Amino acid sequence: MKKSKLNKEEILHLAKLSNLTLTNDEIEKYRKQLEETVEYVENLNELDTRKVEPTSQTTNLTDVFFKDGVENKRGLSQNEAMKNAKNKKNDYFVVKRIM
Amino acid sequence: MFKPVIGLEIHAELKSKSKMFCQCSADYFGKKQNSNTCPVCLGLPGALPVPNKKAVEWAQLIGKALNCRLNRNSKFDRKHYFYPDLPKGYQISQYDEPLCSQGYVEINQKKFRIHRVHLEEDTGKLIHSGVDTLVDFNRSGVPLVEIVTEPDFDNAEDVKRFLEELHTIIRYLGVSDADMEKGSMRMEPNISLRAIENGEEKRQQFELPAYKVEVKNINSFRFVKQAIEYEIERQKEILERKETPAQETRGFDEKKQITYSQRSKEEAHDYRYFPEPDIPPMTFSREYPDSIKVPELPAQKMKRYMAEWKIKEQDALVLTRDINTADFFEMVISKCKVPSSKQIPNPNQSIANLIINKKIATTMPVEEFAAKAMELLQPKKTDEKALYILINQLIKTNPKVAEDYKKGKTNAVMFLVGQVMREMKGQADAKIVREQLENELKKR
Repeated sequence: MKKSKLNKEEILHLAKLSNLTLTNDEIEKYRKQLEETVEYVENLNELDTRKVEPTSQTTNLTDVFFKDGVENKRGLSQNEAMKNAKNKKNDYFVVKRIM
Repeated sequence: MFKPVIGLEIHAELKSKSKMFCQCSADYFGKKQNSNTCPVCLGLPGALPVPNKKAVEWAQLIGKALNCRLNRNSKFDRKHYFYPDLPKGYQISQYDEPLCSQGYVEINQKKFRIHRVHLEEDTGKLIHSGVDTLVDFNRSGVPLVEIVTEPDFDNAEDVKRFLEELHTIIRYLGVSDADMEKGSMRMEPNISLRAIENGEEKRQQFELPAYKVEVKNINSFRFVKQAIEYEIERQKEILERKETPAQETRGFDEKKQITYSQRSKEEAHDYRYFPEPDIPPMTFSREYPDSIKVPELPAQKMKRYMAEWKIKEQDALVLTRDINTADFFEMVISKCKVPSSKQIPNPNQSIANLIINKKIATTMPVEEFAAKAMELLQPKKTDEKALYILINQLIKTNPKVAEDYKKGKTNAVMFLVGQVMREMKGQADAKIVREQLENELKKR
């Protein structure tokens, strides 16, 4: 079994894409954890899948739609929508200015 | 020498009743901030998106109107990027199996190819204020159709015409307001320049230049044209210095009519697309595309007006730019019974003129308009005797005009024609009046 190796740069790239700031300790910690995860998934390589059609889902369902129309049963009020937000102002979610 | 290579991405919000993957209202305009959401469009954990059937059909309708192939198999994918207007950290879009591909739009005998038409969800709205960016998710999840062209354009004027035609087509289909001021239609040109040597394109003419510049946030056809013209000059200057323009996203400043670098979005894009596991794939039968009915499109309507009703090309164009005007015109034609005569050889063209020149307000009901049009287009009965007297009287009281006419200023007669028409309160045929006037003037 080929051992996958993730390097520091790859971890930093992933952190950047996820908008995370990692300490040096964290970089090493996540590098190891992610490496283990990738290794675990690599177990799948042991299966012979030559005769298996590629798929992207496991339910065997197709064509699940809803008919256009407004239905408020699951709608959230402004209060409910904002309830768990850490930073808010005048009923807007707030982040540090990005532009 | 350089030749521009331009491709376009166009986004149009669909005016379905509900959003793309949940049943919140898609009509978010003017609503209180964050008052039009649910767990799905707010990206709360565990919420399950389900696609809106109408949005899928409308995206296919757009595709079919653009001569695309409707694909038998299609699916949604997750496009990952981190931005505050995107609550889930990914946008549900389509990657390798779009609903429609390989179409074209023909304008003035030129074909511009469509690469694909796919469906995705709109993002929330950001307001930048002081040190904060404020987020309103009312728009999050509204169905958005993305139309991508091939890089078939080499000048800004063709791009403008294409976009105007596309805008008209989408409005004809009735699937989107395509209102650029409200942002329900957005256009992003990709621009680069290809080197041409000795007037001939290099052998690598089918290869695209090594960079491209995308201009975002343009909200009028005129601004698209200006942005492209500015970019062509800017890139030319860089290339002439033997440098390569940076691959980047730029914004457009309407006041200064220039593009500017948007550094915040420059980071390397790594979207990590993968199939959306929460939404089963879509399948369509071989017969299905036949059930998508495309109405008569502006270009076809224009051709029909010219062939069937002998309308002038320019007028047929004007009449078909807006579906409401075209409908109005057709209804008036069907209600007006005006016989063709010497004075009115083509009543249909005359009706077209009345609408285009706004001789009668087009805001009135069709019946009223038709009645007025018939009245105006009645062949004028000219009282020959009264006309003769009036003409002689006017020539006498305007000796200067008669003199001018004799000196060869034949246009002077038009002044008298106007006077006669006014005196006769329009109850005369201008052609006959002019003939008679010239006859009398020549006698003197």
